[in-house]
Amino acid sequence: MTGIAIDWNYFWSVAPLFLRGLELTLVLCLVCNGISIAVAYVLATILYFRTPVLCQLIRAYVSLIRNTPMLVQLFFFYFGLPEIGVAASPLISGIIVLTVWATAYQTENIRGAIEGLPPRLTEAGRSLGLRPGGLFVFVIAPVATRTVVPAMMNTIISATKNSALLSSIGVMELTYVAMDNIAESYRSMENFLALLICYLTIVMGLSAIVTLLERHLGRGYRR
Amino acid sequence: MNFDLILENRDFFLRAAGYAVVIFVASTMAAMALSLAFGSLATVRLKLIRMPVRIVIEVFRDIPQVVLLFFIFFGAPAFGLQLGPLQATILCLSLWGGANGAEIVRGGINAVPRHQFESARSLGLGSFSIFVAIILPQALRPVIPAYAGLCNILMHSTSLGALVGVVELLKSGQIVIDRASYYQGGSPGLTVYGFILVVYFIAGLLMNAGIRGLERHLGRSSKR
Repeated sequence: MTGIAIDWNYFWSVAPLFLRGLELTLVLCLVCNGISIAVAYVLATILYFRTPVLCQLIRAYVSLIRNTPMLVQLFFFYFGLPEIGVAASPLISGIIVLTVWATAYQTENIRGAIEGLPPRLTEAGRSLGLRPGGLFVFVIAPVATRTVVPAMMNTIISATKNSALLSSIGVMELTYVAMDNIAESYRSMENFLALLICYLTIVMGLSAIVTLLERHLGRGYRR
Repeated sequence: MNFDLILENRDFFLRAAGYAVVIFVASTMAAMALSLAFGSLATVRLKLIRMPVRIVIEVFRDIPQVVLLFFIFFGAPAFGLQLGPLQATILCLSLWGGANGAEIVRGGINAVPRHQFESARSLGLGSFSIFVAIILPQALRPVIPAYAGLCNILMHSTSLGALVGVVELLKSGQIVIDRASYYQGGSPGLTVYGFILVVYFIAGLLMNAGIRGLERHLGRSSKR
């Protein structure tokens, strides 16, 4: 047992490893959240226009993902799907599962924001002669985007934290690096301290962005 | 796909589901108590109490659940605390749920209009009875949906126990797959994990229905 005393020499010696893990976590965060927001807008658009069949499919997908644990989804994808010939490396599997997970939540966020808009917005747009397509692009989507930002950032933060789950299939992100170090050296406190610092930095950084964005987006309303 | 495998192992899966339920119920109860206590403390006017509580809440909210779980399971011995997988999972989910619930409760308390407090004071109630009888009931009712969302996440998080070796649903699935691929060849991962996804999905639907019922029930009494 190493005890609670922290060996700072060891702490600094593992810093480069953690930086590499941090890099991968940040890349995961950027890639998965970027793709998921883009796809979620498309899915929410399909939901808005009530496209038959596709609409039901998306609803089923969203409720399936939101009602099951991400860890089970991850295992299903990584250990289950190779059986029918769908196999990918841990990193690719992780990115796919995390993206699919985040997309479902983001779709729900955007759908909720769109449904929360007052109906007079649609009526006003119609009376100005906008067609449904133009109405969505120029009125509904921009206004909904404003209200969706806090929920969207929450999902981004959750997705970033959930990237820690990917360590269980061997993606070498932050948590994996820490657990690997502990298995090698039995120095748990130093590694957990480093892990804590890394995650606090990421989440607090994202939270700061949320605050800035909210202030920026709120400005328009106060005019 | 072979569904016989699920049927053959139904007792095993049932016992595993029992563990998942134990983790869920225990951690939800503990989280509820913790979130009430810490959520209330986070609204105390005394800065000396409020700030440390809020910092602790924030730290627990910001680290991923898995990391907290690993910290409790692998790190606790350094503090002279030996925890089994089951205890570690329950403690992790209680603390995590407590921190997130505390934030919800804090929001609820802060949303109670100030004049409620002032009116109660002018009626001659003491600080403690104002908090328990006036503020808390009004603070808790509107946050039920948010809290229900938290319970949903806690239910999903019981699957994390698999990572430290609690034989709950996910771990039982792994064991069944290992056993089947050893004795029968092939790997039935798709069937077993698919089955576990379905179990969680159904449990989630049932819980949502229950919560909606509760909300309707509570909404009715507030409309009187």
